[in-house]
Amino acid sequence: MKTTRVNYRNTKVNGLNIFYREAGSNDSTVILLLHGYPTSSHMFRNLIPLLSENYHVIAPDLPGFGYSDKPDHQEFAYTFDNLTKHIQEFIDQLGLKRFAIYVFDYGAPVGYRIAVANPEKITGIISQNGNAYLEGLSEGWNPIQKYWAEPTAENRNALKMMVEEGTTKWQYFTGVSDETLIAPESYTLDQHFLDQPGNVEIQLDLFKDYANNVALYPVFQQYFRDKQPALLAAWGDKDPFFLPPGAEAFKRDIPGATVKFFDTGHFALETHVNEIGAEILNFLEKLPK
Amino acid sequence: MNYETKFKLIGNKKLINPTMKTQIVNYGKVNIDGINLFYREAGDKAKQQIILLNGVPNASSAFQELMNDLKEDYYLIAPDFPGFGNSDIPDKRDYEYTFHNISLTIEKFMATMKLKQPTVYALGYGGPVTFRIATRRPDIFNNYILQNSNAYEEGLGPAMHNAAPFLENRNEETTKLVRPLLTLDGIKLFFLNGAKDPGKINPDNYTNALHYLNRPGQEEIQLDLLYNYASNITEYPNWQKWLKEIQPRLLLVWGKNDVFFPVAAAEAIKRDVPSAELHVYDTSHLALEEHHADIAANIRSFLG
Repeated sequence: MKTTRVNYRNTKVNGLNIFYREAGSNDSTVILLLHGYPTSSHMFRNLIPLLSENYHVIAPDLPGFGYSDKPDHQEFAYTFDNLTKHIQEFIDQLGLKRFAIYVFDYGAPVGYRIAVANPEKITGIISQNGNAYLEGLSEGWNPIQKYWAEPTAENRNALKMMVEEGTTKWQYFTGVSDETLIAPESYTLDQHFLDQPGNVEIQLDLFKDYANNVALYPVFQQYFRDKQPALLAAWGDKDPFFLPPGAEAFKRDIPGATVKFFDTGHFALETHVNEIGAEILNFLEKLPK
Repeated sequence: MNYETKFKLIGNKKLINPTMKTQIVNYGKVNIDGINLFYREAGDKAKQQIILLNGVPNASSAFQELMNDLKEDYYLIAPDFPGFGNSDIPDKRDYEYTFHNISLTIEKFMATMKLKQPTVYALGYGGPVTFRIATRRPDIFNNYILQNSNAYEEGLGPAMHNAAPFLENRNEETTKLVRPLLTLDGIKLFFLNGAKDPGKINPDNYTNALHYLNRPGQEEIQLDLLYNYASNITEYPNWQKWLKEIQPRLLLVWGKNDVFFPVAAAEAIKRDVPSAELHVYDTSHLALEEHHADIAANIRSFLG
């Protein structure tokens, strides 16, 4: 019987401890998994064993998330540019020359920035509810967009409900037809980290900075048109934040892109890891090494 | 949609390579005497059934990986005891946190879920619960798998000796001896102490365990149940007698560096049940963290 061992590692990146999960052979092709809000590399716990028999899987926790360091928001700029800077340094430290990238939610603006800066390193992109188009943004973004338009204390405080336990659970269950597939350790662990002292301010800073991702959408789209990366969009079609048109839009810029929808919500891996895993294996097999 | 339908659906779509490991576990709740008991469930109920029982510090989540390993060939179900994990936490005035009471709840859970002569996998606190049910109803379990659980004086390890004054006499002074077990360092004692390679231990499990134990009211409940462990030690001779008389079909899988119930606990059982199959691993109390795949192989070979 094949056994899958996952290693739980820590490394210092620009003075910050970055936690990452690593599995599979060092000789295999690398796939880098970038998680979203409010979770961590924990979201890949069931996907990693499906991929690691054939691929070298690496899944870091972004600064401010999971087991990575979470410096106070007054001492660390919680911007997507800065998160990207740390993940870029992490990639360079690990000496990753060529890799495929799986991006979800917050992982997408980080991963797309990395792809724009290192097109030669990217063998392919899997976007699971990893948005790059305006038409992908739902009304769920309205309170956040209000804060972008008027960055007042009042509008900032109004977003604190986003990091509460009820909202976290809501994100996991919305759009899910079979609720018995949602493991309670998912939202429990997320909430554990959100409830740590200082984490709310970190998350509010990132909500604010998400405006800069939207501003970069044209840059990401230009990269898609210019470089035509192999791309698989695997999308929960009942995601309350990122709508199916956001997935369809990839085909406009990358006619060869594959777009697959799954009958689920934002955290599609919680309910459809086997189906998405099979699509990913199929996609990865066709990529250049 | 139940597991079978979902699995067939996936099969029809031909998305899944039949040799590919799949990851489907379902999570449910069932009302037992007014208490919602959480359980995780996987596999086809028509196959051989295994009920998995664990308490402190991480309840049924201890079995997540083992369930993934075995679910193609067995039906597995793992409840969280009242007060643990994702089950309800009844007020201690309404529910007495004793091993006897938990064993009654779990026996009712087995009836409600219509389990048919399952094999039981008992870890830690799951052992006393299992022995209590089995001595009342010797035919209820088909086979027994014990992991780092105990029924003998000589099976009590240094962490249990440290707790002994509390088990004998619960007061402010003796409570100081055991309260650290409910902190992160205490939880790590179960997960990491004696582990061969702490880098292979998934931090999610002890982080979540800490989260659950930090909930309001948990300390009192956990101390009540730990104090009640003394009632298990009183019962040990009865369980030993039962083991000798019944000679149950028994698999012992053990993390030998366990500071609660070291391998002496397994050896004592084997002395009374010579046919028991013993596999020892160089790891901690929560041997599944490092050796779930090896233990899954032991179980396949034991159950066929």
